[in-house]
Amino acid sequence: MSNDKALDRMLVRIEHLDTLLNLVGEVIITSNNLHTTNRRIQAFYDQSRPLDKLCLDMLKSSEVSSNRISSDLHSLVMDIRMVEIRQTFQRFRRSIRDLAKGGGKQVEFVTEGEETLVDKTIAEKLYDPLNHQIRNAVDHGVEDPLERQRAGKNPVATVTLKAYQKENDIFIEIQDDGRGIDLAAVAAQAVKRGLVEESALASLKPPQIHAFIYHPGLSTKAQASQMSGRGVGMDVVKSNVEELGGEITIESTPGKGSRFTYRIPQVTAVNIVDCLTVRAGKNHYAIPILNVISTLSYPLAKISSAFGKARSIVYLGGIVTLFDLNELLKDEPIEEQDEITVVIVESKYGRIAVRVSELLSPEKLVFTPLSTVFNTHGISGTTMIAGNRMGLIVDPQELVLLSRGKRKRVEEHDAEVQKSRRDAGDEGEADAWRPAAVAAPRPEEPEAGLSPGGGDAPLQIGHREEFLMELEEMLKEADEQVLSLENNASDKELVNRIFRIFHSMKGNLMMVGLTELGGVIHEVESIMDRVRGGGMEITADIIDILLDTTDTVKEAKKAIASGQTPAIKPSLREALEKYRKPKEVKGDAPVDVNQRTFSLGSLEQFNLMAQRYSGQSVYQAYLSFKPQYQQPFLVALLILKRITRIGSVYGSVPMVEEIEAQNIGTQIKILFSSHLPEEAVNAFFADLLVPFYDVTDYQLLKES
Amino acid sequence: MEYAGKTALVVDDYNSMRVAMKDLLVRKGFTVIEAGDGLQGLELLKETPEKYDIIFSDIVMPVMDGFELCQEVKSHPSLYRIPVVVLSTHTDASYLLKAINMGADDYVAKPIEPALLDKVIARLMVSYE
Repeated sequence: MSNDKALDRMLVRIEHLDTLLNLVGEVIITSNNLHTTNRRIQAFYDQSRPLDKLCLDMLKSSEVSSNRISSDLHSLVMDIRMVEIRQTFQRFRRSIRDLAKGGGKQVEFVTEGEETLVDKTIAEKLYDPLNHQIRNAVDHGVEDPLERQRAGKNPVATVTLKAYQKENDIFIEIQDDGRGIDLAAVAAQAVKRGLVEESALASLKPPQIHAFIYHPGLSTKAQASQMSGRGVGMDVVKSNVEELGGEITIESTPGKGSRFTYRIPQVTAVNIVDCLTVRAGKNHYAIPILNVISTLSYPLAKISSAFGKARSIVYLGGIVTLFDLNELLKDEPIEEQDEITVVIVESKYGRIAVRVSELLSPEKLVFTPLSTVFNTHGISGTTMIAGNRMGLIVDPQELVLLSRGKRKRVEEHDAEVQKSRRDAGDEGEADAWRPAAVAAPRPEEPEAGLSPGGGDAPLQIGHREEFLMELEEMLKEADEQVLSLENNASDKELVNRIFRIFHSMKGNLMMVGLTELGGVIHEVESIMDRVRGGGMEITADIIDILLDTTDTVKEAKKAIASGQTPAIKPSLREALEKYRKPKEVKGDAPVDVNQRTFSLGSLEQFNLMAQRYSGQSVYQAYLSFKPQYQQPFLVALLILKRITRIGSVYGSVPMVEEIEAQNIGTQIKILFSSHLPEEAVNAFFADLLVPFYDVTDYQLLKES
Repeated sequence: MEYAGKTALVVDDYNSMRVAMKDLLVRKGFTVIEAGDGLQGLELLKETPEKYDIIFSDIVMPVMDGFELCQEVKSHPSLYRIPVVVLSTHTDASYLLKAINMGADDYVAKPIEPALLDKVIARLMVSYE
């Protein structure tokens, strides 16, 4: 996803753009006002006079309007960033199908509240945890059809994804009607891992036992399946959701199914962060306010240093270790004072107290990420704080890690945790939950046996990007429609729509020069054409071909984005082979125009005679043509058609039926009459047919 | 600007194709009007028949396809004179044949070869009749 950031676009409503334009207008006005005020102030200054009231009022009003504009802009951008959760949900339709098929299960996927609007970032970040949970639901939650039937359930299981908004929170539910969480198995694992004493189990309520599944490495499946159940998972799901500031609740009834509900706050935009600004010695820092638990003044005398050098303070009845912010970030320690100022910072790695020199103010800050080149642990970005001073934005997670003497970036730390978990012996518990990103970068598959895919020339005309962008939309739509076709195989309009999508996909592929791939899509399209003509029925096999085709196109799209030649899977070619119509028996070899004379039906003979008597000239024409970019048989028809505009055609060799059956080479004889004078007919051949219809040679014979 | 003052109607259900065609045609001087399907195109044509000098149409479209559009144009007393060029891929010879039989005056295959487009426009815009 991130590798084609350049192509990462979204649709914007015109209405939003209009508002944006208005705001830009207001910015210009405000900036003009400031300019005037500035000149005024300068004049007062030059004359060493005190500022007048007008000046101050102008300044005040500029401040008021710029505050309003920036908050309007902020909320506008937030609105623009809203997307329907639909796209995220729909991405699972395919994987549920594949998972169910692979596991011999029958699953119906239901979505609700797809129109719920969420911030684009949330929609993207929800993919990983949802993906994991969907896999879990189908793999572990849902039983075999037989088992379900024996339990008196519908053999077809239902997995539901639901979204809705309540006040400022987004709720996402993943629900299945499978076997539910096996409390006894989870409890047994928890005991085995030493998370709880066996004797204490009896007093635990189901929700407390459910909570154990968040523990890293806890898996109740004896054997990890290929798809999921490798233990790593729920802990990561939990931290993914928590990164979005959310929380998860679990409801599960044995035999009835499970429901996981995420509650996620609608966030403010990613690059504008609410921060607490502080001063530490000569440095200014900004600490994201979400991570600030509290600020307090603390008398130096009350600081306990009971445990050697480590200092700690008491906060809400607990002990929190105290650190000097500057020291943590490897700078000069802060000067000692009698009363110190402390900020309590919390991240997923724990809670610490950091000492600063002075609290400044809470501010909305524009965040500029810091390049990793700087290797500054504990700092995530820079910002301009009030008074045009440069500030450093503290990364609370890294700060807490630093406090434990771990001079590592968060990613390194997480990778290490994953690794130690693997080394701990749970071989199968690799982080398979994270598709491709961390665990297994998909090989670029220049596999043996793939077609060389040669012959695909570059695009002839511009707009390549538009065609590719649209291809993306077509692919999405194709997947969606094909999956719903699976349940509505007899829906004629659906079949038609799918036919049209594949047809258009072919067109776009051809337009970007992928003619070989376009040829493959053409075969798929022909299958759909036969289906819509009633000549064939939709089968699971055809659904597979359709999905394989969209996959192939997706791969091809990726390949060309990285400058590679797209390949077509031999398996797809093989599958298509079965459906290929036996080659239409091509009539005979091209009709040899020199071996045949015109054969006219009685009506044509009658017409011809009538023309002769009325005094119109009759001609026989012999043409050789060699079209460069068009098919000869179609050009022959176009020429015949064109001649009918200067007269009447009575016959041709080959005959029209033969031309339509493509039994034609590059020569044709035509018998026609024209109302034009002979010179005009000559000009028609010499000036129109020769240069514009690729006629290489002709003879025109007027009957006398 | 060979065709300055001339107007072309481009009918296609996909934006990319309309944009690409428009770009090619505008460079030749055409004023380009776009329609998203055959019916839309036909309505535009009927509104001001005299305005249009040439029609470029996709074949497979929702609502009204290119075949039907050809038929409608060629059987309409004030539209039949406007040349219709259908756009499709080479693999669709049978569609092209059908379109020509239903009234299309010419065709251009995708990927569009600019030299062919030039030739097709030239031969349709001159009159020897």
